[in-house]
Amino acid sequence: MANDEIVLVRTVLQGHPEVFQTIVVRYEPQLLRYLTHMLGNRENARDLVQETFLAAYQGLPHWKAPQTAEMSKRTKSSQILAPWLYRIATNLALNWLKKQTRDVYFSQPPDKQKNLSMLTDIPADEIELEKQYMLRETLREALCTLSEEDAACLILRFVADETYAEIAERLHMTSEAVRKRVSRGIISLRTTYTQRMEVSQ
Amino acid sequence: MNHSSEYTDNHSHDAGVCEEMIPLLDAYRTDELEENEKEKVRSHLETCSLCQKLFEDIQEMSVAYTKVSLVADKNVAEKPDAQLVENIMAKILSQQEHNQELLPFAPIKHVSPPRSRERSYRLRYYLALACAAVFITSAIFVCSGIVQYLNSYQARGTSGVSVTGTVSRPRWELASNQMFLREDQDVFGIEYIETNAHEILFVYVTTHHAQGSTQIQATSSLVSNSSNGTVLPSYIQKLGHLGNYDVNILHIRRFDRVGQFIRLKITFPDKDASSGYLQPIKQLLIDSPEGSLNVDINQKMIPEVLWSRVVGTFTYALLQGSNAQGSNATYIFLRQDLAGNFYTITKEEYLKTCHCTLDQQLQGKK
Repeated sequence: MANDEIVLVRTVLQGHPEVFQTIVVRYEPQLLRYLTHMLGNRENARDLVQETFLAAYQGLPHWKAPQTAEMSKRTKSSQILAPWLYRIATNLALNWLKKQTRDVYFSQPPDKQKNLSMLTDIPADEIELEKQYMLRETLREALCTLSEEDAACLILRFVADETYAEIAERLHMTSEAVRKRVSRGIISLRTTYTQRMEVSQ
Repeated sequence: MNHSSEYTDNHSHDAGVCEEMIPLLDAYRTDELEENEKEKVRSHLETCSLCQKLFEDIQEMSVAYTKVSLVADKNVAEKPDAQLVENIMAKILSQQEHNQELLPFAPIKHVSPPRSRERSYRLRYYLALACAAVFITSAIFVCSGIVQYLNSYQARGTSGVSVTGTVSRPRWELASNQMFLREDQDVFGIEYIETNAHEILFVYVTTHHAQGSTQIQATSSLVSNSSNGTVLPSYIQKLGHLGNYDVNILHIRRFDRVGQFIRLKITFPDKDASSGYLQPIKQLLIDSPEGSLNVDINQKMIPEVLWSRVVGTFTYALLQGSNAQGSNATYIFLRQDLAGNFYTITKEEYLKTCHCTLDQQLQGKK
């Protein structure tokens, strides 16, 4: 029996775009959570979730189902579209974060207070604003230096607080590959983190 | 500062070891390593001050960023955001109308837009999918006709039963109220009937049971003089199951007798004591050798989604089906999880979740 997502994709491609809704309903919550972690802002994450699905729909004819043997070796997950959708989402998010650099940091010096409320959804009394702002910024800077896969692994590990096994399952990678990617992310994050800490002290 | 270069500069002699250890440090922090790996990391940390420092930094950063995540997480809903899903689908469907050539295959048939997107999915649609799935994977020849019929059904929007054939006088008579049977949580519905020279085929859907399947016995009223009728040889071809429903084909060996009723005795697996009966077709004339019956069953016989709403992580749906007598409507209460699986639930359970009465919902529908 074929994976039901392969059947869904085929059905969409045979002229039933409404079936795509099943895919949207299945992935929307996790992608929204993921992108919110990545961007630190729910409203922008919602926009990017929408863009992710539109891009996925456009790209659907070119999507190739993973080979069954290869897949069963790596994961028991039935969500075989997941790695592809996360890649699209990560790519869009990284572009968004890089654009933020240009728009916010080079065009005009930001009013920190205002900027903070735009970049995060964090209530003021939870943690000190300055610290939050700094953490988001270091994360953003670090992410901009990483590949899509490394960035995705770093977010899922450090911000979403998932285990290595969970990330491996979600992105259809081996745990070893996830560890390598996370460690690259950590090194990059630590570079920006220590720089910022030195500046702020 | 670049830490990989720092390692090569200061500790070139064990750079290889550090390189091997660095990917393990974070997993070591959360105790996700095998025993032997853990031991390696532990002894390495005792001797390598750079890795020790990195490990401390990882601990510090993880605490800091988990706080960021917890705060952000509070505002993120776990359930699908109905508004967002609707926006996405509206964009895709409008894009689709302007951009037919996007798809590598021409659409088989134009499907008329659903009346309302929220209520647009029907059980029938999933059945078509199930058939399509089986057709694709096991290439059962007989399925192709079924898929086309199921696909074309919505487009035609037929009401009542249509009999197609080249002959002017109908060969078979259909009892449209004999296509659907429901017993508590169990449903049995005929989707499509076809005859050929040797067989009568019923495509049907029935509630899936892990332990055993729905038994069906076909009898003819006139093949012998016995009052109970004569059991006709039959077998069930399984097409597969989708969510909580099995989709199968019942093949019945046909014996032509003018005036005979084909009667189905349906026994659900956990209700051996009681069986339900349907008498869907009656033979009026002898068929031509290639058969004359190709019938879609009135969609009204198949449960229709009247109302649905997302509550928590589930979608609850109220479905209407006709009962065997065709008089009063019967209702089916379903719960759908995020993976798309259906479960039947009791009326009480349903109303409790949706906080309103059945009447309120039916009025709300209008």
